[in-house]
Amino acid sequence: MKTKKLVFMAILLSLSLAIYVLEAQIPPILPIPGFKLGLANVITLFALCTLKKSEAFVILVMRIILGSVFSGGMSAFLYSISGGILCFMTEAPIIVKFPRRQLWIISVLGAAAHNAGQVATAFLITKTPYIIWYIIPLTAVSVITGIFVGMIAAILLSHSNGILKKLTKDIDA
Amino acid sequence: MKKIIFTLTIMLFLSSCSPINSAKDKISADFYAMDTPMVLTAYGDNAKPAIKAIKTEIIDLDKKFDRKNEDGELYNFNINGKVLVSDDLADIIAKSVEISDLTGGAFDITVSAIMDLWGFYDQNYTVPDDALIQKKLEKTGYKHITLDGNLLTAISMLDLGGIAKGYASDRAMKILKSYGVSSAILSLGGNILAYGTRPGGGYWNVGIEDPVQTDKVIATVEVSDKFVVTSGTYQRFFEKDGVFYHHIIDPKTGYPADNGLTSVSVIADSGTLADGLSTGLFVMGLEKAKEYLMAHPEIGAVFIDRDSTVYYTPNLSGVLKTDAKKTALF
Amino acid sequence: MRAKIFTVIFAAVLIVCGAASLYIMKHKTPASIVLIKSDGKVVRRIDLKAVTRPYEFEVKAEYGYNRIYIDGDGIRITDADCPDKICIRHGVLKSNFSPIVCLPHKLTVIFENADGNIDAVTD
Repeated sequence: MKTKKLVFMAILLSLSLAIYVLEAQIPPILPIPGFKLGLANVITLFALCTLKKSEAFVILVMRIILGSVFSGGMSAFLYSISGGILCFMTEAPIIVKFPRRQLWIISVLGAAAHNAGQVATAFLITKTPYIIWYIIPLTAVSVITGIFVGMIAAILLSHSNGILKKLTKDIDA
Repeated sequence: MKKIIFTLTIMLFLSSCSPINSAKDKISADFYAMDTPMVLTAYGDNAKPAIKAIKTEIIDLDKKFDRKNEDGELYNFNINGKVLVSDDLADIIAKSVEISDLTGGAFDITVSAIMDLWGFYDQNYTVPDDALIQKKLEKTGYKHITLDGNLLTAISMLDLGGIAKGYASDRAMKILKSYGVSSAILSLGGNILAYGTRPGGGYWNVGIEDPVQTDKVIATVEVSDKFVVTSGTYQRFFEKDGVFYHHIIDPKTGYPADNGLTSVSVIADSGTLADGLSTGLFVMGLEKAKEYLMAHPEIGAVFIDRDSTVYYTPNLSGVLKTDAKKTALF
Repeated sequence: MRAKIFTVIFAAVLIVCGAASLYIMKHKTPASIVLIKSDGKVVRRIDLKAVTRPYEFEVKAEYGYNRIYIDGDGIRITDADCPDKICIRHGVLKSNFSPIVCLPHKLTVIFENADGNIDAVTD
């Protein structure tokens, strides 16, 4: 792996980690367990559009592991990893099929998948079946947060087009 | 496109009809009687008058059957030893004696005289002198009870605490029937009557308390039109010099029935029988109880021993659910 | 075209789930016995009807504590050392559609009838 690519991935990882930790500090707008904006998904989407799937996956998993170390602990890790992996599995296969200005569609689907994974894990951990009902408000909210996150990712991509072109030349080489 | 909108409209409609029963027609009453909390719940049209009638009936029976109530019939009898009693009192005593016969004396309403020695009556717990117990044993026993019509005679005092709730639940069932109620669940201090079906249809789910962790349920049974009654060591007990003494006294020995069981639940078509049998089968112990239950296949029973193993009669195999170790009794 | 289809689908999901969420928020479970579950196990079982005086207690788990307060209004969490405090902001437990949940501490507070569907307990 080229050094430049390694640096690029490291930058994305640290960016997503910073976003993740920062978001964990803000009290959630709605008092729904599992609810958050999911801003770190901006980086996952960005990475999916600029890097290989496997590389984007590594950034995601590393971010979750490190994020749990910095804030949250073991149970937070379990919720995040199950949601994150399900989100990734939804986004990665379809992202090439959509133009970049439709990134918000991918993002909404990913956010919904993330919630599903998280709620399922919460059910397994707490053994309280009624927790499943939270999927309804979470899905409603994920439509809004998903569009928001997807649009930020699209803006980020279009603004970094110039830099990316330079980078990709070196990265792909 | 139209299809999508159509489907989503249907979904919207479906989601607005919640599957959860709104229970608007649910009527509940809870009050204290027979020294224990009563929780009565019924559903449907006649639920309200039925619950009211049951409450009145329970309070009325409590007055008659309570040995502490100075205006009550039983109090009066315990002082005089020979009294012309009401039909209600005559009936419950006749039924108690019947159950005593059925259980070979393992259930006995005269055992209260010995329970008093142990302090279970006034919570002044003590281990009585053995000579005192032996002396008292001579003067107890259900065989000394005679009922000539409504003329009741006995040489020892009587306490209906082990049967009154079951008897009252039988009355409650009659009232529910007469009002045409289709769905009710009553708890008379832990004596359960699961009447008809659940409001949404289907069997009632009755939990059996865990003798070790009494805020939990160790098993559940699915029943309909059944009485479920439990006798357990954990209900009343005390410890003295490191020894555990509970309130289920063997009428033959005068000592707490020490046979490894911690709780016995009986599922039957009669509340009086279920109440009496839960004590009787407990005193008999697992082996003797097994013989009885093999001869009476209509009775369901669940036994829990000190290791929290659940033993059950085979007629419950489809309806009993538990995470604990379980074994069919035969 | 594809964007339009997704717009409609997302809008519909938003409306349906939003409406259902409103229903969930208003719903009340008609029950009085609450279970407090920590790490999947019932640690307390409380009959709210039997509460005569407000009281509070703490449930401690591997990752932290939740202080639980019970009074005539019901049961709620008043303090916890979890990062998000969602359990505190949840307020009084009203319905099993919206159980009190503290995800970081693996704690849930629910009404009993929803858990295992037990109608009555014989003791």
